[in-house]
Amino acid sequence: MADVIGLWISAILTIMITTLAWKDTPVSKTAEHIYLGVITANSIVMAWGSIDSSAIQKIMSGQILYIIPVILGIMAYARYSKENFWIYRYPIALVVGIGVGTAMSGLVGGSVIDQIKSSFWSLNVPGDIGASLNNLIMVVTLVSAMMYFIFTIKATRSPIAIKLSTFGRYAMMAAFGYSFANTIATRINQYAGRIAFLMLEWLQLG
Amino acid sequence: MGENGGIGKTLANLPTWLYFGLIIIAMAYITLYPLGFPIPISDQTRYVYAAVDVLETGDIFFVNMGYESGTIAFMEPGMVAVFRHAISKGVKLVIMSTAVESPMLVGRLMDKVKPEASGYVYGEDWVHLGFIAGGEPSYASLMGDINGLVTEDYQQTPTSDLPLMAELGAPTHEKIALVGIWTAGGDVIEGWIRQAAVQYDLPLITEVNEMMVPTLLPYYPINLDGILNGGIGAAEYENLSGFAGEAIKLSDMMTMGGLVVLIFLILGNIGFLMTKGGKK
Repeated sequence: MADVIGLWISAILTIMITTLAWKDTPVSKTAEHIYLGVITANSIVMAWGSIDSSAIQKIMSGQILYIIPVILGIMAYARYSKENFWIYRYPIALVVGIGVGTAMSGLVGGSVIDQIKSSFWSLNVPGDIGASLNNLIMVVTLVSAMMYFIFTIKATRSPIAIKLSTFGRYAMMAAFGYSFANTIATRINQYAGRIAFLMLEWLQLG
Repeated sequence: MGENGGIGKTLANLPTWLYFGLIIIAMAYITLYPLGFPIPISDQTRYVYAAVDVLETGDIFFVNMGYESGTIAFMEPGMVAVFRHAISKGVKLVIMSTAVESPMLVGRLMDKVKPEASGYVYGEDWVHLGFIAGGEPSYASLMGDINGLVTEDYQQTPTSDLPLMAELGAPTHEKIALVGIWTAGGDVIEGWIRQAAVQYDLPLITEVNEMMVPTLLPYYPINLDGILNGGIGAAEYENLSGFAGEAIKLSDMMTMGGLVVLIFLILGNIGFLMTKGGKK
């Protein structure tokens, strides 16, 4: 019975939010607010569960040092007070510091060295003209796109630099087009899931 | 309307409801009458398949499930197909979440995967640790000593009562054979690349929504062993692995929806060229 009720609620909310395609109405807003309310409630429960298991239970079992992150967490709420705003900066500084420190450990390897390594392509792949051509396009695109951002070279007004820079701009536009197409694909796929749900699970057609 | 400007203006300003309406009609029609468009398999998907296929019985597959209900249509089928493949090889699964909604979705996911049908026992062959806060610093801790960070699973069972968690031990990364990330957020993957792939040279596979793929391609294939490109990638994986599921059913709808968008893009551009573009 609960499954059937859930199915109907889900179907009705899907239809309600779909009315947004026509225009923003109280019907679509109601569905939107229900979703936000449910997610907020769930987030609060999850957050409390996380604090409970990673701090409260440990403090209660005698691991008193876990009170420090709890105090730091409470300090973060000082941002809502104009007089005590400065207190909020300490936990944030700590969180940012830990985050940056952790990320730095793999940053150079993952985001710099490995990416530079992966940009070295062989221009002659034996027996595979397609791969060779593909790698050549990658190299020209990489160099020209980088050229677009080197303003000192462009300032020399060298015709080669300007042409490469222009090609780099078109290459980036092609990349942005690819990103845009992927964004559309994501949205379509998200809605395809809802259509499939309405047609196959709710109406049981097909 | 008879003049070029009139037609162009109309094409450039087609109403939104017409656009969405036709997409809905096209996708609903194709649900009832699938055409079976071909599903060519990309190298990115082949590499994901290879990363799972190389695992052996008893290997541990660590999974970060970071998607929420909005992306369930294409994330879940990909995850189901990969899990079925992993389970067919006797691989153990450790599931955690970095999105607060995800733990709620694990139940319906595992209902579809049906690990118990392959003799899997919760706690021994797979565990669900629930939501783990903290972002990248927590990934670093998980790879170091998972039991130091996680003391209970999603159902609040102490991790000390779960044999699989004891098997993981410390340093945890030495016991993990593969890391899989399902998420709609690129920062999650970049964090895992730094903490698992770069630090410990662990193989890493991911499924993300299509719009995240361009930002991840620079990491592929050196740091990311394979990428499932949203719903298309999930359909490719189902096709390749033989575990046919929902993604293959959705692939026709995705293709048809894309075709309708393409038609509108062409019409809009024709309208643009007949008005503003034409004047230039």
